[in-house]
Amino acid sequence: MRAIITAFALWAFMLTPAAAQEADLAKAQAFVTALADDAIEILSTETTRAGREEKFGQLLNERANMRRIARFTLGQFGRKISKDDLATFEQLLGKFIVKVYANRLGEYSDEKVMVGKAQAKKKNVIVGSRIAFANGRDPIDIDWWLRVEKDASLTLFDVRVLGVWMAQEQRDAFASVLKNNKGDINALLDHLRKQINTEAG
Amino acid sequence: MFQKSLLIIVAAISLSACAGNGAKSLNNDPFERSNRFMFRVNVQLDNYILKPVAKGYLYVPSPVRRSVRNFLDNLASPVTLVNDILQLEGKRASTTALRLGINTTVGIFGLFDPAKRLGLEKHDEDFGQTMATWGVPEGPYLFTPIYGPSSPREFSGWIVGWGFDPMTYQDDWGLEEAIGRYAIDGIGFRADNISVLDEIERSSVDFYATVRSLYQQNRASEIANGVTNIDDLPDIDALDDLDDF
Repeated sequence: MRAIITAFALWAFMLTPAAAQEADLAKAQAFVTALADDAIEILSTETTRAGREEKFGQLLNERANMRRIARFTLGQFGRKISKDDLATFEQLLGKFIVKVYANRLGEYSDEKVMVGKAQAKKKNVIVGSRIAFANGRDPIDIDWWLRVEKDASLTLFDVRVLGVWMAQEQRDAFASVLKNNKGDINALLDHLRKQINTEAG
Repeated sequence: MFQKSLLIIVAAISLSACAGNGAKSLNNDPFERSNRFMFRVNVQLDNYILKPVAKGYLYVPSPVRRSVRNFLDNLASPVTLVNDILQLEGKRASTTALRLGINTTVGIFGLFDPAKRLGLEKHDEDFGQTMATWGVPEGPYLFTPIYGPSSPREFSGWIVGWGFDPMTYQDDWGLEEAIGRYAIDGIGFRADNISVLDEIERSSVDFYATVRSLYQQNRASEIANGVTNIDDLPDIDALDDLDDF
């Protein structure tokens, strides 16, 4: 009898983490489905640029951890700047992302996002997806990198389109600006302000 | 010609090995100053030559452009096939072989892509990718005139690829034909991506660094055959310790 109980306990012990992970993966897939649906809803209902940007800004603040993205895109320079500069950078980065990607995504208003497999490791979850185009254009694969927060909620960290992680692309560009300006964060902040104004124009 | 090509390959691989032994610079770009110079030259060549030609090419009816693209893709299939085999990718090799057979016959010398409708999706492979799977180091980032972003491994792989290309051994296929083929390929690619590249240029805080990142990330993805591996992600756990998220 003891052997049976021990075997059952072992089986339950082995099963629980796998079952829990499966539930986490399903939660991550649901997060991406909802996020993609909300983004497409914004693109199809908001006809003005200002309206799109406002709604995208709200979506970004709700579903992404902007502080983490800001820290990441600053790379090693993030450790050297003041809290005030970090806060300014985070704010400008949010505006920059909204301006750039609200425009880039403008053509995807009536497309279908099919969410695929998810994989998890420690606090990272990657969910695969594919955008199918109604006009016969080749589909595009998109990966969503999510992070599990301390309260077990999920936030968006990065998006990979055609093999390119967007936050990593920005980090590389920001690092280059900082390197070429002797690490002066004000140079990067000015670049961002200039880009935001260009996009607004 | 062959000796010259061999010399370039040896030089490129030597450069690659040297770079692999030393400490890596930021973004693996120790020649950034000269690369930026070549990038500016290429941007001007693009503005004054390639982009206007590509814009003109967009007036060619879309089905004709599609057929030209299909024909060039089919012409490149033997090189992909050899590299699929060298990478021991049996399934991908059979896909390429079937695509080549179907598109060359039913697709009328590759002008059409009936294989795609049968679920045989196109993929690209080159000897640079094959060397990457064999563990050959990439070497430093190089921005080359006309060819664009590259590395010693990719550039030498491109040259070796000529040896895998059946067209190289055709009697009536000379330098002019080879240049014409690459020129049409480049113009077609540029035409297909005019708005995307304009948008990237407009929204980049540093266009050179953005192109470098796009190239390096995309190349890594191609080598991994587009598969995303969670183990390859950069470690960002330390970021959580910097602040209270």
